[in-house]
Amino acid sequence: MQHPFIKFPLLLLAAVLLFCACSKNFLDKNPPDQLSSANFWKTQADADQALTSIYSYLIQGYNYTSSTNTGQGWGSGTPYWETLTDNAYSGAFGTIATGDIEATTGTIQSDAYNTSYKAIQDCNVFLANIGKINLDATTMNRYIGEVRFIRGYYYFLLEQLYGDVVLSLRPLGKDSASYKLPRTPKPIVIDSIFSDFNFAAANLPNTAYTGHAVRGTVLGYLTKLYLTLQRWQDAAATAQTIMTEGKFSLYTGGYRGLFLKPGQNNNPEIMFSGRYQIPNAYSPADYLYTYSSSFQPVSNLVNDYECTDGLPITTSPLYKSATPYNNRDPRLLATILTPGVLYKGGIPFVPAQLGASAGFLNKKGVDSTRATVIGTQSDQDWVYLRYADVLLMYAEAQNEVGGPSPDVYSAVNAVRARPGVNMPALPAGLSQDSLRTRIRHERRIELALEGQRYFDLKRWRLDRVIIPTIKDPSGAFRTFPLRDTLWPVPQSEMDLSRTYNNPAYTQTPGY
Amino acid sequence: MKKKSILFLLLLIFHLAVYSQTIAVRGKIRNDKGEPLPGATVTVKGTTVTTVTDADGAFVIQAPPQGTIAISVVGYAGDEEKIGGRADLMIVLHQKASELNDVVVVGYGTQKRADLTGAVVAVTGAEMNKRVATDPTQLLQGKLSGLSVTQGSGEAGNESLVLRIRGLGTNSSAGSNPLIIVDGLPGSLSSLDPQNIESVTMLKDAASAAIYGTRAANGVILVTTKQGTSGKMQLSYDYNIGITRPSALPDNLVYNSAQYMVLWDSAASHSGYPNKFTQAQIDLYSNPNRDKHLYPDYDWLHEIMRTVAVQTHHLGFTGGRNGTTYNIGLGYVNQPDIMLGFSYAKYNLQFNLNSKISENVSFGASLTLNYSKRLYASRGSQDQFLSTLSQSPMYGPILPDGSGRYVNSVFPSVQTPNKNPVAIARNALVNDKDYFVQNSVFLNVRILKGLDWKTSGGFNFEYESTYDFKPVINQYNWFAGPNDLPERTLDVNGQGLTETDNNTVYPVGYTQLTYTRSFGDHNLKLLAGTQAEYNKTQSLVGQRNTPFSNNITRELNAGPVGSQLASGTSSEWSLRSYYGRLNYDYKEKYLLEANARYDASSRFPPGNRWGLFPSVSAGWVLSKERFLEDVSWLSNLKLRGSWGRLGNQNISNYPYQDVYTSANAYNTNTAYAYSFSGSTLNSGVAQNALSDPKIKWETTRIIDIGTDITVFNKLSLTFDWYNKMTYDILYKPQIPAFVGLGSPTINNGKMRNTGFELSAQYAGKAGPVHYSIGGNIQVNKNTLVKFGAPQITANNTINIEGHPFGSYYMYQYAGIFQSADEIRKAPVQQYSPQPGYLRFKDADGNDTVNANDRVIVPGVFPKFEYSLNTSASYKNFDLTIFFYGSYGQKQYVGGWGIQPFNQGSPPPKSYLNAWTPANHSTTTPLIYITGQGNASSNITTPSTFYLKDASFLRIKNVQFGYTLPAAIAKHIAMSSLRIYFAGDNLVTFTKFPGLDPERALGNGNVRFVVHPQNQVFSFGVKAVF
Repeated sequence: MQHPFIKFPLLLLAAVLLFCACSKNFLDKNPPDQLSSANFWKTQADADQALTSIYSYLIQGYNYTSSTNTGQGWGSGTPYWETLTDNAYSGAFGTIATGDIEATTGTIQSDAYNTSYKAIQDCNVFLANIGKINLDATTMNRYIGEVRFIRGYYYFLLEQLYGDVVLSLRPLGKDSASYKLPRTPKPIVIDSIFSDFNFAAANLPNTAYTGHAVRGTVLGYLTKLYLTLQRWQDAAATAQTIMTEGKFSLYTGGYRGLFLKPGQNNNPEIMFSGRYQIPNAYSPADYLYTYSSSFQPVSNLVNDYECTDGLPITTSPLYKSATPYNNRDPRLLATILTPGVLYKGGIPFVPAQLGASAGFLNKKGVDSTRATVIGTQSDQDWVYLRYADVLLMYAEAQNEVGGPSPDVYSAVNAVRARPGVNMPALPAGLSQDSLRTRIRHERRIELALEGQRYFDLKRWRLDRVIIPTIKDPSGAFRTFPLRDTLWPVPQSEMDLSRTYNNPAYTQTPGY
Repeated sequence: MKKKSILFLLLLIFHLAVYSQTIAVRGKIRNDKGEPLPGATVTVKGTTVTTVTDADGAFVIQAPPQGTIAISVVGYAGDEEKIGGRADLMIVLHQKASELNDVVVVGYGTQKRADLTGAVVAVTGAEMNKRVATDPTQLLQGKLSGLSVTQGSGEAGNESLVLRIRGLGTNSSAGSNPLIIVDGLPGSLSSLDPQNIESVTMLKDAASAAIYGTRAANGVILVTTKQGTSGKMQLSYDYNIGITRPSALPDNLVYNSAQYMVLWDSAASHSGYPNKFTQAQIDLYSNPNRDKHLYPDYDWLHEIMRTVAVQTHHLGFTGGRNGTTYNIGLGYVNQPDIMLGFSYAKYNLQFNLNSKISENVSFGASLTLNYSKRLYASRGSQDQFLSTLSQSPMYGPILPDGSGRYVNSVFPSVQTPNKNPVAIARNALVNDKDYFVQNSVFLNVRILKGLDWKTSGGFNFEYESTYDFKPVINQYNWFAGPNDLPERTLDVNGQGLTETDNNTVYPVGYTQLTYTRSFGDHNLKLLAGTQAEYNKTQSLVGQRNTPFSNNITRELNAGPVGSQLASGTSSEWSLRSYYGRLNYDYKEKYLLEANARYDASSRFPPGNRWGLFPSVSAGWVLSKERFLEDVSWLSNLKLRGSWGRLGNQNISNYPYQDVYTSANAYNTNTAYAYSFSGSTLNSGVAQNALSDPKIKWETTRIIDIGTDITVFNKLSLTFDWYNKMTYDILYKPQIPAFVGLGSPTINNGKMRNTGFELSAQYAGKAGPVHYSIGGNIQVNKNTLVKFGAPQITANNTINIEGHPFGSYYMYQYAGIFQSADEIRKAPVQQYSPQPGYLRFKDADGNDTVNANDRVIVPGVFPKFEYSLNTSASYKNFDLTIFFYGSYGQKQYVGGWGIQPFNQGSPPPKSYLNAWTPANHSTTTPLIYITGQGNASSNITTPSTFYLKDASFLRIKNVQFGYTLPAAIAKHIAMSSLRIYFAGDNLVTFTKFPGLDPERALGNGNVRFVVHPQNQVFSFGVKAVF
C-alpha cells in the first residue's frame, strides 16, 4: 500500500521551499521611501534636496489652523511677534505680552527655541557632509554660503531672545558630549554669526533676490546685526554697500502689492521671504487674520499714522474724529482692517461679531477678496527683509554716526514718498534726537505688522519704557519686568539638563 | 501479531458477556442552559462500553438496567447517572469548576491541564459569550486572571481597548501589547465574531510564552475558533437587541442660561476678560415670561448623547461525516453609537474545515472574512464631546426661525464657541471601510507512531479605505434674519475630499515535528519547528484639498483640479525563527518542561539580529504522592515554578539606520519641500532623527511560582506569584531640544513588575439549585528600576527610578486662599494670587512655590483589580451576575466639564457656590474663564486638585435566562430555545465625578471628556434547530 504521505510531498515541499526561497535577503529590509545615509550625499541633486529642507523652516507651521498651534511667529504667523509690542494684541501670547513669561509658558517661548535648533542642526548636517559631493569651488561655496547664512539667521534669532545659547557648528547627538553642552556666552555666539554672514556675503551671487538668499540678503541681516550691537559705522557702511551695489529698489506697484501675489514675484524690493505655493505649500494667512480675533492691531498703532499732511492726528487739521481714517497716511488702510471695510471676499468688518475688542484686524498680507473658511489656502509670501528696511536702517545708523545729513533725509524720504504712499518729506532742520525719533516712527509705520517691532524695541531698549504704557482690550496694563529682555529657555530643557547631568546648562537669570 | 489477536478475542468475549445482560438505553445530554452537548463521552461504568453523543446531544448505549453510566465532556463536570431500569434518560451537565482533564491550547500544540507547569489560563467561548459585545476583546474583561482589559471609551468600533498582562511590562517603543495568535498564526482578535470563538488561552509566564520568542514579552493570547462537530448539520441562530445609553454623563453642568450668563460676567471680571454679557442680554434670558423657544435653557449634552438599539445576529452551521467536519458562522452587528452620527457595522464570516484524509493524514482550514463600516467625526469622538460642552445653553443647534440653518453663536461679541457638533454629526462624517481576511491551512502527517509533522501557513490581509469629504456648511447667528450672512463656515477639519487606502499583507508559515513517547512511567514529548513571517504595509492618499463647488458631487473627479495631491508609502519587516520544546513527566507526578526559541528580526542590524529565548519550568503534583493519597478531601495539589526569558522587538521598522526622509511632522503636508520660485515646489529631505546602529531586542525575564489546589472536587484555587524584569528596554529617550533631531531608539532601562494572582471557583448544589461562585484578584506593582536621571514629561508625570513608570508629578493643592492676609503669610506663589485662588504647597520649604515644588503622587496604576462571578440555575431558569472592579487608580482630569468656561463650556454646578468674598468656599475656587488671565493660570495649574480617585466596582453584567423545555421546543421544530435578558454596566460604585472612571490611562490625555462607556439592557434569543 502506498503510504499516504507520498501523495503530498510535492505540496509540502512547495510550501517549505516558498518559505525559505527568499531567505537570503529575507531579513534585510530598507525603508522604501527614504534614503539611508550611506546612499546620500553623492550628487548635486542630493545637495539641492538637503538645501530645500533647510529653507522649509522659513514656512514652518505653514498650514496650521489654530492660533495656538506650533509655528506661530514664523512664515505667515510672523505678525504674532507684534502682539508682544505696542502694535498688536493676542490672547494667545497674553502671558508673554503682560510680563508673566515663565520657563513653562510654551507657545512662542519654546517654539522659537525648538524650531531654531531644528533648522540649525539641519544646517550642521549639511555642512558636515557637503564635502562628500564633487562640486566646483564656486558652486560648493555658494551652497555653503547659503547654509551658513541660514544658520546665522537662526542663531541671530536665538541670541536676541535668550542671550547665551548652546552653540554648535557640527551635528550633535552621536556622542555623549553632545548632551552636556553649556550655554555659550552671547559674544561668542555673535562672533559665530558674523563669521557665517561674512562667508555668505563673500560667496553668494550678487544679484536680485531669487528665492535663494543672495549677497544683498546677507548684507541686510549683517546691517541688522550691527544695529543690535550699536556699531553704527559698520551698519551704515554695510547698508551703503547694498545701496551702492544697486541690486534692489523700492517697488513701484503699490505698498499693498508688496505683500500679495502676483506683485511679489520678481519684486525688486523683497530681499528675503518665506515663499508659499498653492496647493501643497499654502499659508493660512487669509484665514488666520480674518476668522477669529486671535490677532488684533491696537489703537496705539492706528493713532500713530500721520495725516496726509505729515502731521500727527493730535495736531493735523485734516483729522476728524468722526471720520478717523480719512486723510491718513495711505499705509494705514493698506495695513489695518478698520470697521466697515470689506473683507472675507466682500463682507463688511464688524469687530463685535468676532469679539475683536481692540476694534481692528490685520490687512497686510491678507487678501480681502478671498472668502475664508478654515483651511482656506493662501499663497502670499511672508516678507522678512526688504529694501525699505535697508534704507531706514541706513538712515538710523548714519544719523547716529554723523547726525542729520542729506543722505539720512533722502533715505527716509524715499520711503515716505514711495509710489502709492506719497507722504510729504520730513521737515528740514531736525536735530539728531528729533530725527532719531522720526526714523523710529517711520520704521514703526513702514514695517508695521511685519514682525520687526519687537526686535526694534529690544535693541532701542524701549521695550521696558513703551510696553508698560499699553492697556490691553481687557483693561489691564501690561508690564515689562527687566528680566524679560531675555527669555527663559523651556523648562523641559532644564529638566533634561538634570537628566543628562549637565549642570553647565543653566536657566536665564531671573527665572 | 499473535498477541494482538488474542487480546482482541478476549475483548470480544468480554464484550459479548456484557452485552448479554444489557438493554438499549437512550438519552440526551444538555447543559444547564438546555443546549444539547454533542461529542460527550458516555461510558457504562465498570466496562469499556463507550459511545459519543451526536449533534443533538443524543446517544444510545447498551447497558445493564441497574447499571450506571458516566458522562464526560470537555468543560463540564462529569456526571454519573443510575439507569434504574429506565430506557430514556435526560441528563443535565453543569460547567465545572475544575478542568483537570481539559486539553488546553498552548503555543504550537495542546496540553492536558493537569500537566501544565507554566502559568496558563483559559476561558471558553461559552463563558465569554455570556456578555454581548461587538469586539470579543471586551468580553475578556475579568475573565482571565492576570489580564487587565481597559476599555478606553464606548465609541462604536473604536473602543480603544488596552490589554495588559501582568502590568505595564515596559516603557518600550515596542509597546506593551500581548501577541495575539488566532488558530496558530498571528492574527486579530477584534476581527472575529465572538460567537465563533471556541476558547481563549493566555500564556502569562516565560515558560509558556518563550516558544514565541521575540514577540512574547508582553504575554501571548491564543484564540481558537470553533471547529465542526460530527453529525448531521445543526443550525443555530442567535439574536440580541441591546438598548444602549451612556453609563454616566456629567449631569452637573449649569444649563440655565441666566445663571450661566451671570457666572460668565463674574468670571470675566476675575479673569480680566473684556467681553461680558450686558444686563439687557441677561434680562432676555431671566424673564420668566420670555419666549423659551427663542431664549432657551438648552441642554446640549442630551442633544448629542442618545439611547440607541444595537442589534446582533449570528447564524451558525456545523456538522460533518466521514472524518470531515465543518463549522460556519455568519455574524452581523449593527451598532449605532450613543453619540449622534457615529455608527459601526460589522459583517463576519467564519469558515472552519477539518478533514481526516487517511489514518495518518489530516488537514484543515480556517478562514475569517470581516467587513466593517464605521462613521465618525474626523476629529474624533472626544472633539465632538468637547465641542458639545463648549456650547452655552442660550441657543440650540438649529436657528429658531425654522430655516434649518446651523447656529454658530448667540452673542459673538462676548464669546464664540467651538464648532457646532450637530452640524458635524449630520454633514461631515468620515466613512471608514475595513476589509479583513485572516486564514490558515494546516496539514498534519503522522510519519511514524508518535511522530507527527505539522505544517501550517496563512496570511492576514487588510484593506482599509477611508473617505473623508469636507462639505462647506454655513453657521449663522442664533438671531440671524433671513438675509443675514453666515458668521462662519463649519470647521470640518480641512477642505475638499481626502481618500486614503491602506493595505497590509502579512503571510506567516511554520513547519514542525512532534514526537510523543512513553517509556513505562516516563512520558516524553518533543517539539521542533521553524517559522517565518513577513509584513508589508502600503498606503495611498489622494486628495483635492480646496472646497468643492457643491456638497452633492462628492468624488475626487468633481473637485478642484488645482488642489489635487497624491502621496503614498510602504514599509516592511520580517522575522525568522526556530523553536523547540521538551516535555517530560514521571507518572504525571513530576513534570518538567523546557522551551527555546531562536529568532531574528529585520528591525535590528545584521550583527544583532539573532536572539535566543529559553525557559524551563517544573511541576510537582503532591496529591499523587503516597503521603497525601489518603487525604480524601484534597482532590488535587500541584506546585509549579518557572523561569524564562522573552523578547520584544516591535519597534519602528528601520531604527538602526540614519535615514534622510521627506516627511516632517511639523509641516505635515509639504514636509521638507519649499518653493524657491513661488511656482515650482522643490522636494527636500533631511535627517530628522538620530539612530543607534547597535540596538538589539529588549528582554523580559519572568520567574513564576504557582499552585493549583482542588478540594472536595468542588472548590478549586489557583495562585501565582511572579517577578517580571524587563531590561535593555527599547526606548526613545527625551533629548535636549538644542540637539535639533528626534531621539534615537536605544536599549536602556529596566522595569520590574511583581505581583500575584489568585482565582477561586466553587460549584455546588442546594436541592434543585445548582450554583457556582468564583472570583479572581490580581495585584501588580510596577517599578522603574533603572532609567538614568529622572525625566519629567509634559503630561504632569515623571519617570524616576524606584517609582512606577509615568508616576503623577504635580503641585499639591493646599486649599483656597481666603484672604489677602493669608496670601501674604503664605509661601510666595506664582501668578500673583488673589483671595479665592488655589494655594499650593511649598514642598521644599524655601518659602517659594515653583517648579521644584512638584511632587510624586501615587496612583497611576490600580493597586489591584478584581472580579466576581456567581451563577445559579433552577430547573430551566438561570442567573449569572458578574462584578468587576479596580482599586487605587487616580485619573487626572481637566478642561471642558471640569474647568469653567473652557471655550465657553458651562461650569459644573459646584461653581454656583464658588468662592466669593461673601462665601468663603473651601472646595470651589472663585469662578474664572479658563485660559484667561492669572486666575486661570493659577487655578488650572496642574495639581492634585484635578487628580480624582478612579477606583470603582461595577456590576458589569447580569443575565437572566430561561430555556424552553425540550419537549416544547420540539413542537416548534427546535432542539433548544433559550431566551435571556441581560444588563451591562448596570451599576457603578465610584467616587469619580461625572463620567465613567474606566478610561485609558493618561498618556497625554488630561481631558475629562472621553466618549462615555455604554450601559446596555439587552434581550436575546438562542435557538438551535
